Amino acid sequence: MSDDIERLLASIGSQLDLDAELEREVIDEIRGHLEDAAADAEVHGVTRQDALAEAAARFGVTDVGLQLHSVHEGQATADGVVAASLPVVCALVLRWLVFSPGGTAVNWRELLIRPAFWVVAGAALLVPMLRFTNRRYALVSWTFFWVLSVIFALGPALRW
Amino acid sequence: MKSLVIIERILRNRNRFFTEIRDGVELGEKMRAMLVSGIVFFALYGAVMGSTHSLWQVISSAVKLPVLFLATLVVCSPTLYFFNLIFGSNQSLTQNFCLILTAITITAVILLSFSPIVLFFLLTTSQYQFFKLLNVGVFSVAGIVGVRFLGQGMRIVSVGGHDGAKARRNILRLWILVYAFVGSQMAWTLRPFIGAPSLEFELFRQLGGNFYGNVFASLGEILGFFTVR
Repeated sequence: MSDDIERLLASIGSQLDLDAELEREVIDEIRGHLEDAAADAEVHGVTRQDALAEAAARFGVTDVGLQLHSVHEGQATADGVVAASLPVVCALVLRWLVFSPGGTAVNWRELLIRPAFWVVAGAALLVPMLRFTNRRYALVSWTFFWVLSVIFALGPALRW
Repeated sequence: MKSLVIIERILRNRNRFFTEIRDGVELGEKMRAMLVSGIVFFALYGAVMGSTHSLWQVISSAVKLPVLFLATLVVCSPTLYFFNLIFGSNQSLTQNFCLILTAITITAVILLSFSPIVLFFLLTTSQYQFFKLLNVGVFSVAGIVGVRFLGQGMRIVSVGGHDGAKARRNILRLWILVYAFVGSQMAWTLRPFIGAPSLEFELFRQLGGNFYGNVFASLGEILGFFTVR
């Protein structure tokens, strides 16, 4: 019986062209729905095999594969773009628009009462938190943003 | 989001993407998506390059870097199209443009992925010449990956064309050289992108010298032969 589900899932999976982690999540979700549908049908006296066959037919393998693909396509790239660009953009905004013109944070006490400072710092944390399913990535991204910002403020490189 | 979907399709399933270009599927939509994402990614990398100097340089480089690649695209596309046509290609100008835009988009994606590394080096090195050469290296890698995609795309899109496949391959190789020369000269014309620390901000520097001479001079200074003024 579970072979039937696995065959069905494999044929849906072959139509997905997503990154491995996301693909596994999608397949696991479908597996859950199929098993729930089969269990429901069994309660109403239908045999498990028939219930699975009916659930599989209701799903429509081709349509489901294509729909899931179109729903999730682009998400991995969006994650990559956020990971690569957000800490960099936020560090540049702090450097050029929030820190003093010399690029230092000499008056750092004054920084703490500037809304712009908190908006940038908050965006650098919140956007990846909302974007990444794994929150640790968001924290890594936020840490990288602070490392860049602190070096910007303290490092001598910008005064070549 | 549509732009990112197109990029993911190029990166993950390029055969399907190039086949769609060959069949003329949604070329306008593809080009719009690639233009939008390419411009944004180049602008971000440009801002990183310019952040060595001043806020004006950040803004200037963020605008000039997309212009550099788009201007090179416009200058070089007709040459590839007409030479391909002479040697039996059945591609339209739009398909040609779309293929070159794919190469440029891939270059932009690679540059975006390098932006944290470049910013890190910017913050932790004090040598202007090293930073300049680092950027030349990053652009070379990104450009090579981009034109490899172009080569693959040309092969797929040209399937079914008339005779002359070998000649078209040679033309593509020559065209890539021309593209590199035009791109580097365009970059030299639009400079500065980084901004020499000893000079005030300028939108454009005076013409004179050339890109390759400047790269060799920077190499010479890093190796300790002489000092670039």
